[in-house]
Amino acid sequence: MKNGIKTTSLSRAAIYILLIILSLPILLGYLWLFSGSISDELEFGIVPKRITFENWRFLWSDITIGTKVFPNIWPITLNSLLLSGSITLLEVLISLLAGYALSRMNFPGRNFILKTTIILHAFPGVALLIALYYVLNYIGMIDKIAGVVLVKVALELPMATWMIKGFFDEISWEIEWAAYMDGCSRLQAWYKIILPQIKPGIAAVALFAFLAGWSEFIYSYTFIFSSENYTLAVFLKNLIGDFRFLDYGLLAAAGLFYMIPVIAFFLISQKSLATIKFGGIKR
Amino acid sequence: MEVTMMNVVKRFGNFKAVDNLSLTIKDGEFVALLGPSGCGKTTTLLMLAGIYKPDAGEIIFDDKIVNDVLPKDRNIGMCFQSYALYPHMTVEQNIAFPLKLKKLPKKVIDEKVREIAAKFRIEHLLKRYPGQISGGQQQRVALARALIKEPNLLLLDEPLSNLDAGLRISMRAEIKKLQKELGITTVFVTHDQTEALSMSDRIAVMNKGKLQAIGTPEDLYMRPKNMFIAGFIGNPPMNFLEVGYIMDGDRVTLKGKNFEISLPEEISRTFIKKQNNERIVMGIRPEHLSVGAEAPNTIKGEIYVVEHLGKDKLVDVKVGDDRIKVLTGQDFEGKMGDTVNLHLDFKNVHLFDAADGNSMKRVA
Amino acid sequence: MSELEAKILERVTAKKASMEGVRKFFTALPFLGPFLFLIILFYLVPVILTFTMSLTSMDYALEWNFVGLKNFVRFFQDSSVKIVVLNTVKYVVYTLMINVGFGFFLAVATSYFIKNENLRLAFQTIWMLPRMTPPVVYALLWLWFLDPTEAGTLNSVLHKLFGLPAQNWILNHPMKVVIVANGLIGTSLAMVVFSAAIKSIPVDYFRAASVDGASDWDVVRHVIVPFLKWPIMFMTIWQTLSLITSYEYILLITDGGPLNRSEVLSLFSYHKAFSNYEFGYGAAISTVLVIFAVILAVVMLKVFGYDAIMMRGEIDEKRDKDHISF
Repeated sequence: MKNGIKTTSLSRAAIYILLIILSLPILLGYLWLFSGSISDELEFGIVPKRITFENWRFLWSDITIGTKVFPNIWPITLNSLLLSGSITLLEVLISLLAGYALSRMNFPGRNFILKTTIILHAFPGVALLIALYYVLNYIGMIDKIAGVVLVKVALELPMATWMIKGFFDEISWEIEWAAYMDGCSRLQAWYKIILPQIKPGIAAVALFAFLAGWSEFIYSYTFIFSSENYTLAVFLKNLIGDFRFLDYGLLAAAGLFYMIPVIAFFLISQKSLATIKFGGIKR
Repeated sequence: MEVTMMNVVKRFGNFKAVDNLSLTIKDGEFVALLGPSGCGKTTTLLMLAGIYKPDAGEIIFDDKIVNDVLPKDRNIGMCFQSYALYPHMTVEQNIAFPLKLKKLPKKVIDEKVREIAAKFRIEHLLKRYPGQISGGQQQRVALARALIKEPNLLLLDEPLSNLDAGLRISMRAEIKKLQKELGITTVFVTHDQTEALSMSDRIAVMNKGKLQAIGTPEDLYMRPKNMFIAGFIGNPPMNFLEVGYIMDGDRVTLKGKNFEISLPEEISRTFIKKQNNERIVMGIRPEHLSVGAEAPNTIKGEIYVVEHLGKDKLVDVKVGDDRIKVLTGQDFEGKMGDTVNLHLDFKNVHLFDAADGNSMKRVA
Repeated sequence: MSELEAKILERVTAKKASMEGVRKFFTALPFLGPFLFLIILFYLVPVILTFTMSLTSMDYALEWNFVGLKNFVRFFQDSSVKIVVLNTVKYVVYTLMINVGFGFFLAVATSYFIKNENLRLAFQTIWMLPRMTPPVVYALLWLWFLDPTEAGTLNSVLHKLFGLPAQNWILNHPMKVVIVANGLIGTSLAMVVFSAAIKSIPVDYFRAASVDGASDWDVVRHVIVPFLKWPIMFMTIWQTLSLITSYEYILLITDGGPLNRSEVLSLFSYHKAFSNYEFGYGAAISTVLVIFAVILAVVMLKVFGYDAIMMRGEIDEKRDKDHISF
């Protein structure tokens, strides 16, 4: 920061020490996730004593406890990919359409829809879980990944649409007008001139949509009963239920496996992470 | 192509952006739409472009009503204030874009792009993106893009306002020359009267959505139809003084609070008559006043401040409560507080009705 | 023009304008259709359904047996509701304090005291981790950290440092665990919002303070805090809104237990519906929450206006102007 104050070294040192002490437990947790997954015994909670890949056995064999056999992880991973992929695709597509209309068209009811969108953005969808169950059951989408996709997309739409609208807002009208003067139809102007300019915005929304879908737990947990439709979140939750006091190594490995896209996201977009409209995300 | 606007109205909600505008632009003519910001000039331009549809009235190209013709079917070239180059395309792609949409063969497009790039001296920039070239270069690219499809009408929206002063003057000449060369009908929106006066064949002055006057630069400067035009055209602006009107035989006498001016007979005759003692407004430009010896029929005042304008001096003279600006030569040596006598160039005295602001000049 | 003619003209114009509006709406409809469809199906309908279901004794069979206000009467007589409501209040208040207080500390520490850009980013990224981690993994980290055996991480650290005996944290202090775990999630949001606010303070204020010889703490008190007043108020209401209705992390870490000791209203509603299959009663509890949430949302909108909610600097232009009319 370019403020003119020279912070005194004493208070600065105190702040640093405090920050480091407070941040340690968090770092420790994620460090454990890594070291715990490749070792069967840890020293001081996180230092691996012996390296083993036994904890990753779920990748090549079925997990059993007593007579209980857990479903194979690969179809479940595929389910999770399918879920997050569909959520991303639908959310981006629908918010691109709606965001364009809300940003660049003038029609009666526009203001009403805008304000409602903002209220919905602040409104926590989980409170409606019971009614959502009824709706999904009614339209025959209960116990189906597609049902969870629809619910998740709907609940994320207000935020995504608002973000996309913001990106459209920043494109000057002169550019769009120029496209018409050059001979574009409305549709051509939209995909040849306008969409290419909000590519980074679309990427950001897609990324958030994917991660939100990947992390999604409560709707899959509540609306899906058949193990062939499980997602990684539900799988891991069940795994924790059975192995909690028995095999932390297995849980760490499974947790880490589940975290891979999140870690990838962190590595890719470390810089932009803090600046993208992070604040818009619901807890 | 001849462009006609007949009784055109454009509303935004309850606001009338363009109010009953009628205007004809002859084939090959260069017309400036001049006015303060918010006067409806850009709205007018966008209606010609087809971006806005008029709420009433007709827009006619040659003899075809085009109100419902889409912009893409009007064959118009347009150049925007911000240039509006497509940031994700190279200069070459930008220029070629209108032809690509026409589905011309690639060979023809390449040929034409090369040709026009040479004309605008931007061949070396073709592979760059708009963000990588200067404002003046962007301007030329925008012009090239507007002209490559050989439009029937060229629309320019404040094309020079984002350039720095030096470049602006050279582009002024360049655009004017280009327009004459191509003989393309051109409408040009600006708020800068110097641009309008120096570039265009005719100027249409707009204010509050209404057409105030249209005429050659000389017309508007020498024979302003009303006080708005008189005050708007000319820099420094015309002085306005409220006076009483007295008709004495064939001579008109103008009675101010602190002065009295009698106009010569032949000048008096050029104005329509009014009732004695009616309040009217006298207008005179700073360049039509001079400082001279004490004499009858002059205005006596005190120098308030002297501004140096480079080749001239602008003298601000206090006459009672009024302030009159006078343009003098560089050799004028009056100082603040000096008493001076202002001589009027009677041929260039303008009189306006105080109520409606219209000129009292008889129409010849 | 006569008065009559003027009136007729006015009416014709008005009619033309309204037809134009209809036309414009139908132009926008293809773009808005899917959006409106999903919003209506998964927001509007569920809100109405929740209210309606609260008047029934609906169970797993999902049949509509209307019982009037019986569910609400039961709600106010239910002995466990008292403890649950108390838990909810505790949970919201303490979690909020961690969110806002700790978020403020992190924002000031990283945005004001740390001058090194990379270090700032590193710390902010660390604190962003809990929020970005999938809830199930985040819960797993807590379960591991608080493992009740002597080998449990927290237990062994406390034993080595202070010689404390091992204990079952989740069993003995369920509320504290839930509050801290949730507190860390909200903290990153507060940190991001407050940091942005601190960064938007004009540098001149800091320079003026420096010229006046202010210490760091003076700057925090007299420059930063006044600027953060609105963001803090905003954060408080926004977080309250999400805290009263969110229960995902509690469900994963303690599941409300032991014996309702960390059960909050929203989770209570969930358990009634999906553990006991009392959909009607669950919906009644949700109704109470939804009404409360809506009131809070409206208050928030009134206090902050729409644009602040979206954390957008610029105001959405008031448009009575079309940009294109074809």
